[in-house]
Amino acid sequence: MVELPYRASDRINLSCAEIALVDCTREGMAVLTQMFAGFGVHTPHCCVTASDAMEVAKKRDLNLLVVDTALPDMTGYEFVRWLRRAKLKPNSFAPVILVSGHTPRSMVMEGRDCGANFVMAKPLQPLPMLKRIMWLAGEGRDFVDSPNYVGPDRRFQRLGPPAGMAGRRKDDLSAKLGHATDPNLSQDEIDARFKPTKVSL
Amino acid sequence: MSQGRNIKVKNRLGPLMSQPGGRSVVEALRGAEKRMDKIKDECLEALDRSIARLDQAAAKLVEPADPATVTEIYQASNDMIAMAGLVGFESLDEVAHGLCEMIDVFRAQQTCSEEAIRVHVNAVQLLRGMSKEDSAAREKVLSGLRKVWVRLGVREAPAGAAG
Repeated sequence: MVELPYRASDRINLSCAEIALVDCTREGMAVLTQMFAGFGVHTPHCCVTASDAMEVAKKRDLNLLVVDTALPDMTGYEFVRWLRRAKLKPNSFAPVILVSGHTPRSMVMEGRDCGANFVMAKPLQPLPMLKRIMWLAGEGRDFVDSPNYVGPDRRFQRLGPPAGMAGRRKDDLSAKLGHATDPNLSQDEIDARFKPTKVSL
Repeated sequence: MSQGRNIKVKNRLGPLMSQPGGRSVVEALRGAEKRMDKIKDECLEALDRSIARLDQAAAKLVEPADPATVTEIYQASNDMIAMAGLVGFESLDEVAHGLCEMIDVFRAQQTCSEEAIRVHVNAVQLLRGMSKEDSAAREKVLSGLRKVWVRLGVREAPAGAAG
């Protein structure tokens, strides 16, 4: 038995979630629909082509899209690129999980660069899928809208600009520490910051 | 330098998922596993169709290999990856991954070894016919293939392996 990384009391409610499942194979769709039904999703939007998914994205406010990379009319990557640039509010910002069979590093990079939030390798299992959904539920990444990329900020960590380079963000801080501009704190002021105080809640 | 802008996006999924009701995470996982168990026969049939498709494509292999045939083999192998692990054929999953990786290497190097592809197709047939309990025989087939992957530069030799 696999140890679950959750408490028995943790709950999720996906009963009202608008979720699009996009997969062109009958069995692939069966796996997705059964898995999401188990998660408590009542009526997912099942699409077998990218065109179907586009229609759904134009009509419904989606909370999540799960998209296979191999679709008959365009690749999953192309679909996500379209979605991110389609200026459909709120769907252009909706989280997207791309799923793929053989997933070499180049495909993971392509998935990241097309604007998907996650790329998952098949065979799909409930635990990894639910972990990613729960991650997405707690995520607060900004969206980046630029001529070459539209999608969630690809930087998960704020490590600052690379060494020796000026940052491109307004809030990038310099690695160099300048001289102090204010007088140093007195010992009393330092002590006061560590002094326990009562707080009424 | 291209100009971009950051947009603060309201997470709609999180508040929706934390609404009262729903089910426990444990129930959700168990429910999903139970439902997926019910379609195992369907998945097994799909796996067998992919193997048949792989066989048919491999039968068309000639020297020099036709790119369309190689693509067909890649796609059949890719379909196998989606199903094999779900129905307890992890060994087939490994072979299918290895075959796809090998084709990627062939494409990058603009070469192709029909013989190496045939070895994989034969291994798939062999492993599909083996009893799931016969792990020693399965491991023997896989260990032979792992050597092929190392020799063709598809994978690195395991640490500590003698050349």
